Amino acid sequence: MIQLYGVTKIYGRKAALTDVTARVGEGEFVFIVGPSGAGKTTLLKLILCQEPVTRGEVLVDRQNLKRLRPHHIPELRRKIGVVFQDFKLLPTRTVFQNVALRLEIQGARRSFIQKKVRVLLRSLGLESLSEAYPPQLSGGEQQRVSIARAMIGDPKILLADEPTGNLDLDMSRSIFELLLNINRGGATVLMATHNRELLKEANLRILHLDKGRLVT
Amino acid sequence: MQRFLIYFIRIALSNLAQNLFISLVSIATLGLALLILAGFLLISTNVKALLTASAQHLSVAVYLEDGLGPEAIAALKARLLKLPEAAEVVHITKAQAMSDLRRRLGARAALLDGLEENPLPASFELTLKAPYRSPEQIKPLLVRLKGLEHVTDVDYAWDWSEKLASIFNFFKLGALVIGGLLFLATVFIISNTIKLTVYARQEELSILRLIGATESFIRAPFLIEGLLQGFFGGLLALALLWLMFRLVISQVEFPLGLSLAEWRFLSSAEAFGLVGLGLLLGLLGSLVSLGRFMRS
Repeated sequence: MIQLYGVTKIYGRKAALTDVTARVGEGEFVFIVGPSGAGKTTLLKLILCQEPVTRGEVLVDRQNLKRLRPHHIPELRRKIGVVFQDFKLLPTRTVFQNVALRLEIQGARRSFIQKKVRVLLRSLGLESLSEAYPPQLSGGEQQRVSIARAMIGDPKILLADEPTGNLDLDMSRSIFELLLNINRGGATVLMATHNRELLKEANLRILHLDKGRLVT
Repeated sequence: MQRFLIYFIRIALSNLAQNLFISLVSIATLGLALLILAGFLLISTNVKALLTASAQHLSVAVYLEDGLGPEAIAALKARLLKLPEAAEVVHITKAQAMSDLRRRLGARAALLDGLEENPLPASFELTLKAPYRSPEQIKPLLVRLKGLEHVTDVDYAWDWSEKLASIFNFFKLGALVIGGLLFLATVFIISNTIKLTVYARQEELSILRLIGATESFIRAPFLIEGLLQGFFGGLLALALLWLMFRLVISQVEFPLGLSLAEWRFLSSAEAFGLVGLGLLLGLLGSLVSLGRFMRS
């Protein structure tokens, strides 16, 4: 599902990633770990086409991102759900609107959006919060909303950048459980994390990054 | 498309509401610029109508050499009548000219008593056909008439109508300059209002991009915001112009007894044009700001 061949990313004079080669198969759940500045976020940014690769090739769902024209980037991103450490919810829109946004940009029917968002919020236990605004929610609740937004488009891939970074262990476990569920539903999940507890408990494949290089 | 449109308009309205004060300033500026332009348009069409109407009351005086025989006068009259511009030609003898002058001077006619001989020339009074009454057409006609044999001079009662026309032309130039500057200012202000919105929503825009929104999806609400500002500015200008028309312009009285009924407001096509111009300026303003600030 995701293939990296000799991927190097240089910002100015500093290499954030150096010669990274890795594959993530369809339906896999893979952790990316490493100290701060190891290149975890950069790697996710390259997959999401937020940054161009300096050298090497990135293939996402058989598409070579180097050959992707700018106007096709939104199409690629609709296959990918993203979850951030700082949630990146729109503070001026309700929980419902935040989740619905993903379908609105696709031009989905209003009735379809209403139904689908409601069902998803219910399944995540967020139904009672659907008219609340993100600043009124706890960190764990906001992260669940952000996961709902990532899930609503039925993405093939889910990228999670330190999704439990701001949460306590219990909340982290419940968020992780959610991501595992999405993975069981068929999505390929790539999760960057610092959380050793989760890593120990999960026993899943891990990509170790250190100073921009993949270490085995 | 309709679904998108509703969404875009909703977002655009909420953008306007969030920057209410700045949006109102930019709508007011646009309204003012359009008001000035439309005000001049209104005055100019009315003054033009007034000038054309006033020309109906005026005729060209063609002064003749002294001592012309009846044949020469008849030949010249026939020649004048053949002019495409001529509606009517009336011969005024030296004696008639003097009696006319005496009548106009009224009580002061005694001033003329001391004259040993009549210094006034005989003339033809040439009334013009309706299509040839504009000052632009009369000027070359005067030159042609002056070149005719036995004609010493020509005269056309320009008086206030020409002065009015020249003042009017001066104002038209002023309106173009002021209107042009205001238009630039308007585009600048609208583009800045939208720039502020773009800045304020930078985070939101980047989130929208990350979840797969296309550039046109992101830009459309800002374009609609500009269009809305332009639309409201156009309506404001129209409303103010109408108010001013009712309260001021239509109360002005001109000589020659032109009645209020002859003052007319903008036609519906002109009114639509005014609002359309507002829309265009609004669109231009948002395109300027989006072109510069959304290249990421």
